[in-house]
Amino acid sequence: MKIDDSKKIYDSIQIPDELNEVVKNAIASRSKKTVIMKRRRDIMKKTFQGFSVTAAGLIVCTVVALNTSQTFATEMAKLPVIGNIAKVLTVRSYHNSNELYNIDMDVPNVVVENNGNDTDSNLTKEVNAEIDKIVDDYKSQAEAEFVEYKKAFFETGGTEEEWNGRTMDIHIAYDIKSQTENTLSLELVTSKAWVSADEERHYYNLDLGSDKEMTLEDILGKDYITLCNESILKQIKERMAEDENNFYFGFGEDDSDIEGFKTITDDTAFYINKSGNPVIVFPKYEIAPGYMGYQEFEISK
Amino acid sequence: MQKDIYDITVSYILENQEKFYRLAFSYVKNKESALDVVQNSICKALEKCYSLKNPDALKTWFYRIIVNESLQHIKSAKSEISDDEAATNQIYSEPGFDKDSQVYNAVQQLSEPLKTVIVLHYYEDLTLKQIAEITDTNLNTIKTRLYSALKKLETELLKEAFV
Repeated sequence: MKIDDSKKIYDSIQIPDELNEVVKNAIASRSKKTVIMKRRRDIMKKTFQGFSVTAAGLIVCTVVALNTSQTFATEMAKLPVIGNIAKVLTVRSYHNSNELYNIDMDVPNVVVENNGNDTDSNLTKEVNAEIDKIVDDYKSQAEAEFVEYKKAFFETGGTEEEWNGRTMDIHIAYDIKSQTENTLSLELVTSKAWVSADEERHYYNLDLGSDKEMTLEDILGKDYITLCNESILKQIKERMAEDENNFYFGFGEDDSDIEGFKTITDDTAFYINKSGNPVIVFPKYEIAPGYMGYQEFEISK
Repeated sequence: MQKDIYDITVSYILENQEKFYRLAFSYVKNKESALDVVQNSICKALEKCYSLKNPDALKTWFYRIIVNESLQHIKSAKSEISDDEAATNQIYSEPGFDKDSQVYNAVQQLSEPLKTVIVLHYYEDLTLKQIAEITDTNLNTIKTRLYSALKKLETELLKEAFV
């Protein structure tokens, strides 16, 4: 057997002059920069697949130990006084910028004023504890995510120059949606912005008279589900007729596969507006594509 | 930028481009197709090079891409090229290497898995273990393929000798 000798034939396969140029062009078409950028995009895509789940209404609570070395400035500054009974205080106001994060947070707590003294009720204790937990979890989770992102960036060959000192913005704020003598509707917004923005909203509707959170049934009566569903369906159709760019899952002509709005549940978020009407809130992606943002529907009593 | 797996891959490609071309040519049998295979393999390799964890595996990894690209090319070309054309392309003769070209041609006539083992082992000097990695098969399978390829070549060449 002379297989080794037949290697001569193999080795004499003529190399065309164009080979070198073809090789160089191929390399140039996949420059280091394009390859890294593409890889980074793929990584981000993967990360964001996880995000859309969060945005679809699940609250992901990954508890990461809060960095205790950071000192929170506690300002017991009295913010808007609500009626004579409830007031919302900014218990933690924290602003910090470092090489990684710009953190801006105003954390509310609710207190009840009784004969000039601030007191806690069972309800406010519960609500305040939940607010504190949401805020702390959100902050530490966002920080961990950004550290992970930075690590992946450099591991895939990113340079300091390309990183260019980018930072993550973490923002915690609140808004008093409405107030009456006995009720308080509070919105807590947690958001972060890095390569993309992501926001969560939480609502607290407190009935201070009976010391409990209000439900839609309390406000709208026992037919609240039918009432809300009919009103929401009507409003979706109106909005779609108004502007062709308005789109809701499940309402398209091509009957999209994504299931859209069907019914509200006891977990559906809402707040009470200044007219005293409940406003149903659907997070981004839940009933409509992301570009539609949060969707609110006022339900007239 | 500091030197990383991308730069290592690029230097490796520049150094070994002729080997890649020959390997591709031995499958696809014509210049244009071989150049296509080389080009596509380079693009694919560079896009994926950051997922290559171990730079030592670069050689077998790259050969694997070339072999796969070549096979894919043959597969998609089969429907386009008529049998006549394919047959003409397969005859490869170099005057002065008569005996050797007989062996070479017999190698080319082997079925794909057998031919890959012979080409990579005898022409590209890869070890059987490396070939197992390239073709994603186990070492014993490669050994079996090698013996059966040698057996076939023997029969084929003996047959020709008596014609």
